[in-house]
Amino acid sequence: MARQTVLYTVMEKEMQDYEVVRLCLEGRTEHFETLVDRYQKLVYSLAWSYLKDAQLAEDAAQEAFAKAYKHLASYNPAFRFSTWIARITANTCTDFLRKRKEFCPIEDAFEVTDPEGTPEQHVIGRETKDRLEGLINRLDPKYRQPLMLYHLAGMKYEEIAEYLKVPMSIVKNRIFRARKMLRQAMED
Amino acid sequence: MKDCIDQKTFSRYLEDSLEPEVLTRLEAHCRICERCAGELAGWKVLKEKLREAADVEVPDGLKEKVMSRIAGEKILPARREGGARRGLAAAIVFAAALYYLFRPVLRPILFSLISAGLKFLSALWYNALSAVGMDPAILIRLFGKIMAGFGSLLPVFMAATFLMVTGLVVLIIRGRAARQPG
Repeated sequence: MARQTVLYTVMEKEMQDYEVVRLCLEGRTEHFETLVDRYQKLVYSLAWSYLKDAQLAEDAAQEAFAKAYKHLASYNPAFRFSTWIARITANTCTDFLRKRKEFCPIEDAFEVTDPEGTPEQHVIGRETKDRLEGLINRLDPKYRQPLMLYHLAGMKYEEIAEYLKVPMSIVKNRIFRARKMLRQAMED
Repeated sequence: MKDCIDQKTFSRYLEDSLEPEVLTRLEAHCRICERCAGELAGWKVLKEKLREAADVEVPDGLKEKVMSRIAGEKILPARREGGARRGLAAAIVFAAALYYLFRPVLRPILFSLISAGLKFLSALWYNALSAVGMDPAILIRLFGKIMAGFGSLLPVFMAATFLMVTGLVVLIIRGRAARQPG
């Protein structure tokens, strides 16, 4: 029995997203946990980059997963599950922001809490992060968005291309140019 | 130096996607080239800053919370692909059939509506042109001609109105569809 469980877990890990979705649609909804496991980092990071509030981001992430679960039958396996769930998350965050009636300033897009280090280190760290945030925020949105999706949400080039509905060559080029601009701006 | 590292290679270094031999060559070159060593140092700083910025921890128990939240939920049936388009086509056919059946009643109503619209537009233009000191007589003559040939132009006005309304409906439906999950 234990061997069977181990084998089952290994198989589940290797399963493609669409196979997991199919199992869920067949009524074996416990498999949705695999999808949550795979995409919680992406969903939470994306929610956090939109909302800048740990609690709100967690609520939005839960909401996004709940929506994805409810609409699982509408998922088209021709596309990546990651881009589908990322779009749901983005829409959910937009709804959250609309409800809150205040748009989070983009300047906070890279705010990260620093639990360790001395107050001095914290201040220095904060200053450099602020500088990076400022530089990123000065980028044209067409460069900033793929850069954030790649570095903050941890999406792959192909996923970003599908998400933004542009060819992968454009995504690569925009991320390259964004980094180059950041690099130059950091030197100035 | 002719073997200097290009910016794209540095950019790929930043995402750890360089092949081992390219990475070795890059590091070896940076040991003998001051300019590229400086470049590499700059890219390393950026890499570290971006890594720090992306360091977002997923809260403990998120997965469990999600699973308990969806425990009572049901998966909704799939939305039919192109349902909105089919609905719109059906609405257009229905409207056309309705017009055909009731055209003795609808035609005068449409005629008076279009006539009122044109009158309103001409008044608007008249006032606007007068306000900027232009001679509205040009427009009056133009609209006079349009009104004179109104009977023959009616299908054109109807087609234009129909296209505009259809376009608006399509835009609204597409906008709503884009907001749906997935």
